[in-house]
Amino acid sequence: MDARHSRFARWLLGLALPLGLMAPLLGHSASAEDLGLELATEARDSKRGFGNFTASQEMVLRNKQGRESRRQIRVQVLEVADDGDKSMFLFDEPRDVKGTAFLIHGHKASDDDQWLYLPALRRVKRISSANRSGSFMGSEFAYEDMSAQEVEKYTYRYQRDEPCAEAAGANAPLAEGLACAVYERFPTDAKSGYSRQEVWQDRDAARLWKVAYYDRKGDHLKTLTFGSYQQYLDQFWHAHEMEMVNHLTGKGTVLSWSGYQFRTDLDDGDFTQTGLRRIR
Amino acid sequence: MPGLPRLAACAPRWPAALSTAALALVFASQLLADAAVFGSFSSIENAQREQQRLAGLLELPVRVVPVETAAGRIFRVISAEEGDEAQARFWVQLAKLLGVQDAWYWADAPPGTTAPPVEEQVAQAQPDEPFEPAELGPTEPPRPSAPEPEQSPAPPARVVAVDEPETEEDAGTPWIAFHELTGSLGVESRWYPKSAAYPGQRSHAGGFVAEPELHLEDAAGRIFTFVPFFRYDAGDSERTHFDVREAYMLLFGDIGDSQWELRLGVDRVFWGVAESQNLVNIINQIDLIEHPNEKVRLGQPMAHVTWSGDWGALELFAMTHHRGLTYSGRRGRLRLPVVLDDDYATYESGAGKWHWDAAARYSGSFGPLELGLSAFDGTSREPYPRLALGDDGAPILAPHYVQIRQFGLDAQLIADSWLFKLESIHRRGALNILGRDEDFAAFVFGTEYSFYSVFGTAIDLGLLTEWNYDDRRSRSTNRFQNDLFFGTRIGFNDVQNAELIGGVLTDLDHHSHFVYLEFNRRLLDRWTMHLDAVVLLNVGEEDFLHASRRDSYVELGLSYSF
Repeated sequence: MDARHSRFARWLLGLALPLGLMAPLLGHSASAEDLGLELATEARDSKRGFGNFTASQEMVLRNKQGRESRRQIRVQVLEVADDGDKSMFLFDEPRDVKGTAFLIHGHKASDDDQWLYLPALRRVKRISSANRSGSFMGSEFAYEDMSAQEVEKYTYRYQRDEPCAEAAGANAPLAEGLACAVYERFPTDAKSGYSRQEVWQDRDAARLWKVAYYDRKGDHLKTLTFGSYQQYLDQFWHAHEMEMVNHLTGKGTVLSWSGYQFRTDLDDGDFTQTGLRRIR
Repeated sequence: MPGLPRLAACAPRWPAALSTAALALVFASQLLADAAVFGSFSSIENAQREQQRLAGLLELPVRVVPVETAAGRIFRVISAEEGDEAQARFWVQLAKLLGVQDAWYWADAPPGTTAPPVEEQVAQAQPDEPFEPAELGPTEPPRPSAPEPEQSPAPPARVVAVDEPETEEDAGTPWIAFHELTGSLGVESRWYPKSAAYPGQRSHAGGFVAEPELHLEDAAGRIFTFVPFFRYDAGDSERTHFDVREAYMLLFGDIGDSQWELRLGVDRVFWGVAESQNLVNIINQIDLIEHPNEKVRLGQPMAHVTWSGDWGALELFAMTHHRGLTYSGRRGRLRLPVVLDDDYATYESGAGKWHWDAAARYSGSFGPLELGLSAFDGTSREPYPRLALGDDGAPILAPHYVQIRQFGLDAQLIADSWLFKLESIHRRGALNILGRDEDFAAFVFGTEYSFYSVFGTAIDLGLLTEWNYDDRRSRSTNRFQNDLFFGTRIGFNDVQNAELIGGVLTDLDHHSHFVYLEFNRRLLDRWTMHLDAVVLLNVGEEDFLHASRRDSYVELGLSYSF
């Protein structure tokens, strides 16, 4: 049966290839919504298959006067085949919250499950995921910006194409000469703090270079830019610098990633409440 | 691998991908091969077995290539096509459809499109094969802080770990693979504005507190934790105390799809969901002298086994060396007219504090529901105070600890911004306030509602309501016999992580109020401050808190974390 499958698939491929070649010539008209969804799906697919990874985040919070404060966070992410990924955030700095850990079981079709480990009482607390728009660690990143951007949690609309270099953040020579598709995404979750987001995604490897966030009133609230992309496992692109600027408050947060390790020996058991109590 | 321009971007998804595939065929370059990787193995025999299986399954030329990684040499089972990214990606999808879940796309596989015979593959696996670090972004310089990222692909990673005698090779590495010393040091000052109810009680308490934490991990993955605690109090010598909060060894691992964990030594375990009290939380004794809110706990020596999986977690505990409730001395506040003295503790069990207590707990998550079921059989953590004479002839209260059996239930349900919480126990063998045996049931039921980003600010506001009930009512041995709790938690979500927690516990039988307020925020990177207040209002003679009626206080603390 398997062999037949494969033969059929190749037959299909042989048939589809010339058709696919012709598709642009036929001028098949897809709606802007379809195109947006296609771009988002492409971005998602380009990230699948990593298995798991661990990495370190440094967050630099800058206020209007330019005063900075730092957070050190370790991140572990486990890919889940048919649902949202599982992730763990472990706080190292500031020191008074050292050991605090945050476990998320992402879901595509329903609210995420979230647990918080409070080291002072050795207590694991299940917390509501209704807090989508709240600030993560006092930064300009909201909880919803930190969680995985599941395709199912937005509707989309393709806008236009333009060069990526204009949109990209600092330290992004890679963006030179790349073409970016610009599309809007509209959160389906009523608890989201945003009415819409505008996304700049390159047509080369579906990397994001910029996201503009619009609040519920429709005002341009924040802008996130990406830089220092590196490729891992010859496949996965990760931005090592992400900068979020809040246009209403003038505050900004720079998120720097380092120390990526892919396909470590992490498994489901590390992303449980028992694992949450154990993590260091 | 630089991608090709997506001319077909306006076509629907599948044709787009396929037309890209077609374009890729047209513009195929002759650089490195594009490959679909179906699996990776540390032993070439396993790789070849998989190669033969897949060659039949996929009807594709499948070959084995050796790759050097930081974790050593591995053998990848691949199909490769020079310069045809789309073909390789299609194979990945095809393989996944046919059950090879871990297939992935590899952009720069060694060239070669045919499957050489097995002998050739062995020949390829020469030790002088050049080591190739993972390719970084074409325009980005390698960052020294980013280590060689690929370890070894997912499930076969364990094959690698099993096959390679890593620990033997690392004979020269130190015994401690990881160590970390953290913790906090603090100074505190507590002031009781009202004059004392009993002679000798001081109006000030204060001193310093230290709680360092040492974590070690050895080369075999065993974890050791040591958390001593020390408080010096200038006002009450009984409040000056030392405790080993934690001193345990932790082992863990997998059994099939489930996991096990063993903790041996002194540890702290928290059970419960409520805020005003945690009825089910019975493993550790309360360090009452620390704070009247009964949340701080003493370390408990135990063996603790956990078995967990998709279905939840089952935990078994065996405990000995019972810990006595800590209590204020003669000079301290928040005590009964007569001092409860742990030195005169008596036990129902002949084994005394060395009686072996046992406990078990099942806990699980069911969508929005968190459920815990627990059982405890052993020495009660709650003392029954008996009047006795001390060595100096003065009257004291001698704590008496009986044998009890308790069943507990704790549950929390999430519905959007609402939390519904329940803790309930049934205890057998306990003594009531009259000193008679009386089985009882008690519960705390409550809700918590959270408002996020109130008034467009970053502030979160939580409102809590809880009802505490003990079916012994006036014969109850604690202050939660019929009490309503209203609380609030305000998180400012600012850079200083400022938080204000307040609550009122109102006794519905005696109309007294226990009010508390806690404010804490960060001052500098490593310095935090807290301001606590406990206010006792309208405490009548019949109230459980009567002896503490004049012990409202304000406390200011400064803490350094390292």
